[in-house]
Amino acid sequence: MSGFPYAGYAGQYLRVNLSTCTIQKQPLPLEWADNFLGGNGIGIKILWDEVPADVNPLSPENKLIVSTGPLCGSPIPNAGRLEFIAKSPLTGIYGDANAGGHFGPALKFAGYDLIIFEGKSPKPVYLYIHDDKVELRPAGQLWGRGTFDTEAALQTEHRDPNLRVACIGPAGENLVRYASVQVTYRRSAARSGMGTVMGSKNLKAIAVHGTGSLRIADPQRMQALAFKLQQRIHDNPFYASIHTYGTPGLVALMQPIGRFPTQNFRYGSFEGFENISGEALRENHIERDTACFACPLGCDKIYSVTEGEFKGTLTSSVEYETLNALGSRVCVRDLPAVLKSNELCDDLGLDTISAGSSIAFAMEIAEKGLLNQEEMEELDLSWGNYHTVIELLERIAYRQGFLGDLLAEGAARAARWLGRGADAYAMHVKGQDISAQDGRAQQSMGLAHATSSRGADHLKAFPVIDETGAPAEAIRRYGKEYLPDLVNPLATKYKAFLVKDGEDYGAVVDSAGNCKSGGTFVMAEIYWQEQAAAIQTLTGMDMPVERLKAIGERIYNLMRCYNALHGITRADDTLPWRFTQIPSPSGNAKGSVCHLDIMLEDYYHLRGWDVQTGLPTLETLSRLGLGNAYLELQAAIASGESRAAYSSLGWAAPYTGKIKDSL
Amino acid sequence: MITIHVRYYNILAAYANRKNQTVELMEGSTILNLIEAVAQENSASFREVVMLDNRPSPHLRIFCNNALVDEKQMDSPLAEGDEIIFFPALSGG
Repeated sequence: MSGFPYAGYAGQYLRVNLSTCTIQKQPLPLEWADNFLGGNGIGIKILWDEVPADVNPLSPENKLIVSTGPLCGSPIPNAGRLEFIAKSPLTGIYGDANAGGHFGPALKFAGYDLIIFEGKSPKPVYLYIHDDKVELRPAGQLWGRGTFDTEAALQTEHRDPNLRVACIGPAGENLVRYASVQVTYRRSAARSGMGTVMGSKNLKAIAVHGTGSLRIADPQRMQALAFKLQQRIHDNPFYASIHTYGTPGLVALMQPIGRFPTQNFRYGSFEGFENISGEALRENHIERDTACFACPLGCDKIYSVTEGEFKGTLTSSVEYETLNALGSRVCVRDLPAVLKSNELCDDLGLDTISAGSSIAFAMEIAEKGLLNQEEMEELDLSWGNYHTVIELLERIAYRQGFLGDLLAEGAARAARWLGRGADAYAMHVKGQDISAQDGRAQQSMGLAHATSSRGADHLKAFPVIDETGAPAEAIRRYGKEYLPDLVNPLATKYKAFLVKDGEDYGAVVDSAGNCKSGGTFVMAEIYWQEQAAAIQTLTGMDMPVERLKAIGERIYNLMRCYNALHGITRADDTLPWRFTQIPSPSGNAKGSVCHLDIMLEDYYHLRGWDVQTGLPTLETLSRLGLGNAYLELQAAIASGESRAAYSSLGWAAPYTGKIKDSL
Repeated sequence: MITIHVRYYNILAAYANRKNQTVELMEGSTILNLIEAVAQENSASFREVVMLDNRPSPHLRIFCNNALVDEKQMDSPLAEGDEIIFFPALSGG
């Protein structure tokens, strides 16, 4: 929209009320862009303003925000990301999920920075966007179909092979609490149950075709900057390994570190790792390399299975996390079976991390005798039984039977429902399953999981510099003063600094619309300085680094306030007992536990949050222009609103009691 | 002489065209000596990843018997039967 003062933005957004079937095109408020940039920055601003603490995540009053950022669709490398933001049905607190692919740029090219979905449609619908034309259309014929089929059906119906689709599968329709949104082509916005929110609103899909373009404030400088950053990424020492193997290349590296979660985090290394490594994937299953919008890295690959029981499997976005969650976490060493499981998760619309974690939880409680024969429904829940894994994925997506319905709730809720001491085996933080890191082997990751705004998650802070120690990288980013502790994975010193910096920068990346796996974190060719330059060159906003840092800090603080509104405090910034009490059994981490409390103290001090409660102080929030949020939060705490919200979250707190067993 | 068992992953395995290598070194040889030896024996692409300005690349990740090796340990002597794992610059998950 030409009236918006900044280039790069489309300048308008859609507000879609599914209850009344009305669509409004509204100008993007300048204050949103100035203070929260875009993506999940604007997303948390909308949640804070419009979705109060007493709203059930599955009710029509929850809102789903589908948001791009200013860089999305620009020539800056890796700038094709899209954010889904809502109150999470899995955690009951702030939730978001991010996907690459091509949908985000298409939405911008159609002329919209974001979409807010509110209410609930009486019947299944999808939103169709072709530039100015925006319509809600019936989706009864798509309901019940998998995501692959849904995408193809919409492209056929509109005779448009370039139609970009974001849709849910049966898992979202059946309100599995960790349902994903699948985004063209086969990318997943998987975490926090954003697909569940779509299902609760009877929203099957969003389909978009945009033919416009972005206005660039300084085209010549933008061309030069984009070229320079592309070149720097291509020349970076990390390029070859990530381009060739993608994140699956990490499997072998995590093994000697002792950070490859195995058997529901009981172990940190997996004897069958060679079978499910990135090297084995490339050697035996590669079809071709592929890439998201404007990405010079191309970490994604398409894989196939051409023989054996799982012949015909064709799948992509097989990540390190996939190989862990559906591989070593459940002790499966059969790679074709893992690929089949990934294909199923994508088609059914399931988060692979939470799906694998829920099944690992089931296998462990079965081993401990906490499930009776009738409840196991003739399934063999032995570790490594991939037929059971595949069968359970189907049952979970359709909520079939006792186990399917139970595990569709996620491990943390299932543990609360079951009782029997099952909470000790639900590996989660704030209701969200822990991804494939282990704070015993990398202290910073333990802190990152504990403080992440969407529950357990490595990607909010994404502290990668101390994974195996990278002194040259540390000096380049932070100078020499933090060495050697900063890059020692087992040291706690400076890890709060690393996590806070990552959370603030991550908030900026997710709000600007570029990718954390690309040049922003691992390679850091696009770090604070370059990110600020990119935003300024594209939009024309005055964006010194200090302003960008304040935006990142503001976003992260508002997310914390939103969670605190739901009763979250320091007591919830924790890790299950295994991480803090059981020494890591293997690898470089052997004998180490995660010293979370030491790092948390440092973290709250650095954040300017109260060390006792973990809540942002008036001074901190006022500095960030969030003084009103402080007052609203304190009022909610005083009135008991926060306590009431906390009591309805529904998950069993991570078990932190006495040691259950030695491993 | 001592025998050292070496394992390569990721692009290093591709550039070396092998996943494992057994290297014979003089007693008292260090990790630095090992790096120089394998750099010499393998392809130019391999050397480009492993060495930078005639020194081990700062991005090379090395494990000795599953323990991370830092820069200060480059001169530590190896022992008979040690297992050394090499990774290129790799990080992320």
